[in-house]
Amino acid sequence: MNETNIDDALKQMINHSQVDIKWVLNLDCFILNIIAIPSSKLIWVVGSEEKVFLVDGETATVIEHFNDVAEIIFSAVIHPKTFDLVLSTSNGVRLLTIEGEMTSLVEENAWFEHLAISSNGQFILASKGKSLYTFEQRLGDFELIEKDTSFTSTISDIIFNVDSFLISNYGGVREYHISNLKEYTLFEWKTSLLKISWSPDKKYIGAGTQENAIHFWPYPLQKEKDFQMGGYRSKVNKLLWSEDSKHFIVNELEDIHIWDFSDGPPFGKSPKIMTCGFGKVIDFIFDGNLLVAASDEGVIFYFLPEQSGQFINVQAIDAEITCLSASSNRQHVFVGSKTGDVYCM
Amino acid sequence: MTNQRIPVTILTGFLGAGKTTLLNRILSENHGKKIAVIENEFGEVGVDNELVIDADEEIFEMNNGCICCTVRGDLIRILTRLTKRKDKLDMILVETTGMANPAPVAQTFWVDNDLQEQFSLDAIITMVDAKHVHLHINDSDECKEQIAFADIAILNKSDLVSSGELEQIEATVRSMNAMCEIYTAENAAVDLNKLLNVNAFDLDKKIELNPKFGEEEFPFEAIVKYQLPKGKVELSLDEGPDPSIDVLISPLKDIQDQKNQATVAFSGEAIDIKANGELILDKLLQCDTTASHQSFYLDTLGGDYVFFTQHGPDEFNMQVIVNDQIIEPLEIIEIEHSHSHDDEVSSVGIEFTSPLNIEKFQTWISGLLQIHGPDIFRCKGILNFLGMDNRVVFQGVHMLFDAQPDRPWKNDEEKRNQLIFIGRNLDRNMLNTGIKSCLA
Repeated sequence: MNETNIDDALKQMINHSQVDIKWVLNLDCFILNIIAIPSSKLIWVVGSEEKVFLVDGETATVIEHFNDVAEIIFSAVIHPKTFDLVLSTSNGVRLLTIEGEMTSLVEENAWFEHLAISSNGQFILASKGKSLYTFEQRLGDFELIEKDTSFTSTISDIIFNVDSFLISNYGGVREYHISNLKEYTLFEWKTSLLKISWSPDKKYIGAGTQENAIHFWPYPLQKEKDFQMGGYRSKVNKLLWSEDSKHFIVNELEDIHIWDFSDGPPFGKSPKIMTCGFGKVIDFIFDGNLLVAASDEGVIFYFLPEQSGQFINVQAIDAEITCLSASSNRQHVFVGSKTGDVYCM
Repeated sequence: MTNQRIPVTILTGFLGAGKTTLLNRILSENHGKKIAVIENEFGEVGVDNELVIDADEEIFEMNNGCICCTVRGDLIRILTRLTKRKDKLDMILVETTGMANPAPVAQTFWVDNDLQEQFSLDAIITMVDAKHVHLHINDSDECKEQIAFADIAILNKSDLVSSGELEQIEATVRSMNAMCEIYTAENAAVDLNKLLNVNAFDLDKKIELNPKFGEEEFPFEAIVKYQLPKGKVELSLDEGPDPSIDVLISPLKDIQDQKNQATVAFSGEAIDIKANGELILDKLLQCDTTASHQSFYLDTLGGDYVFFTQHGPDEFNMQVIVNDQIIEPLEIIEIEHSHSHDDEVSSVGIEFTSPLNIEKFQTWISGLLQIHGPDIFRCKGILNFLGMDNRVVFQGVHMLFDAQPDRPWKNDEEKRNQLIFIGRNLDRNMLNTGIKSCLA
């Protein structure tokens, strides 16, 4: 990071940081995503173009190195049982196994931008523009079972929660229950929806909009009970529910807003604001106690939101940050960067 | 952290005008730049080793209450993704379909904060089919808008028309868009240095080409200077074509500044003055002229004074009299006046040196575009704000605009405000008065 850009107070805090950088590994690509494999020290590191790595998160050793995966990689999820990696790319949908093999679920030169997998690992939904591809795992292999072309605008996000998929685009969110993936419920909102998030208790669906707002629907859908939080100074493109569904966390420029949903929708209340203050918040993670946020200028902030809106610790790296991830034992934070450096803290 | 914005060129024009030919020329030229092309028909561009992305032209309305605020959802998505690369792109080309209105494409860059930080709109290039444009230009709104939006118009297929026809097309294009660069070409062969990385907001060269740019226009028809003695002075007016005449009288100081101040004053409320009434300095006065002859009176401290008059002084036989003696004016400056409001697409250029107040300008331009946004296709220019060492460049499409600090003013450079508005039903007087109300 550019030292001259940091004000003196922050520089001093970084010098006295109680967060040590455990290791740095350069993978020579824009790091799109880092996914920790549950109950394992292994992490998947996904580049934005061509490359994917399976890395030992303890020793920074590259276990598997996948080259030429696809021209552009858009999204990645891990299979909940095998921990294989599923990727949506500009050349189709790929499956990378932890044994180092790569197969194609579908091979097409088109932008497959979003995907999600059901928690039982049986279904994968992937979007290609206005089309939705459904894959089902049969006899060990994934088969394409459905192509839904009924969407009138490009799909902007796909997520899964408990037993349903949610799919957003301009005009609303569709819910597909895994017991019947041919029918859906529409949560309508006539604007461009960017990202969606569903509270773990399934009570609320939140969607960040192109127009600097978050739109909410109570679940199950109730007529005219949807509501919106507007007035944001920028697009809200990172949404996260706490595991207990009591807090809804979003980024806004240099801040993080935490909305308290413990007593229902926070009508008339203000969010708790965590002020980072150096660069735009690009990513954050929250374990119910500790909130870690990263700015695009290379600074990582640690908060205890229950105690204060001020960060309790800070660290900086010499790169623009692209993503954050927690190790499976929650002892470490992995940081991805534009230059290909992966940090473990 | 340094963040150089990636220039974006929008390529528009009717089907068959030569957009794809030009794209292929750009991509096949050995310029060493990494270019991404966002096109509407996958596979039309036939050059390897370039990033070619298919786009759907998904146009979304924004829920901000403005009917003209539409954006290209697909572009937001694609451009956002293009920033997630280890190696930065040098340039992006966006090709639109033949019938496309370029506004949503341009607006996309200003409606989304993230894109605004990462990309800058370099130029809109409109390909004009010289052979067939006459078939569309009179009855196609899309054709007119594509020309109105152009920073650069290429009259392609010039070999298929006579020189007389080409001149006529050029005149038509020029009448709609006074500030675009016009090139003629065969087979889309234009020097790429004239098309790419041209900073379309930079109006300097265009002003050289168009000497009428920025010709000032005022809401008064005459400026009359007098040397007046101390004491009471009579202003004599006869009945004229209107029942009153607006007059602003001030001690003469810097006439250029005073013209600007008078322009603002003439847009405000005037004080009614009846016959034999007392005139007030530095206020816009509406002098009643319903009688065949009337007099008004002014107390002066002596010295040079300037009278800004709504109409020519001859029309009301205006005279200044002291002790029954008619005082001859030192100078009468007649202002060439045009009230024409063109229903068709046209351009208004404004140029002046006095520095602007940034808050006043923001308030004015926001209000202007909110009310007149649907008719203002494009506005762009260079601004001189008081207290800023750098030029500020701005450009807008309908209701949305972007203003950014540019390079510092050079030592030997005159700090000038240069603005151009292109659109329908443009009111030059209103625009001129409005911008002058933003003076620091």
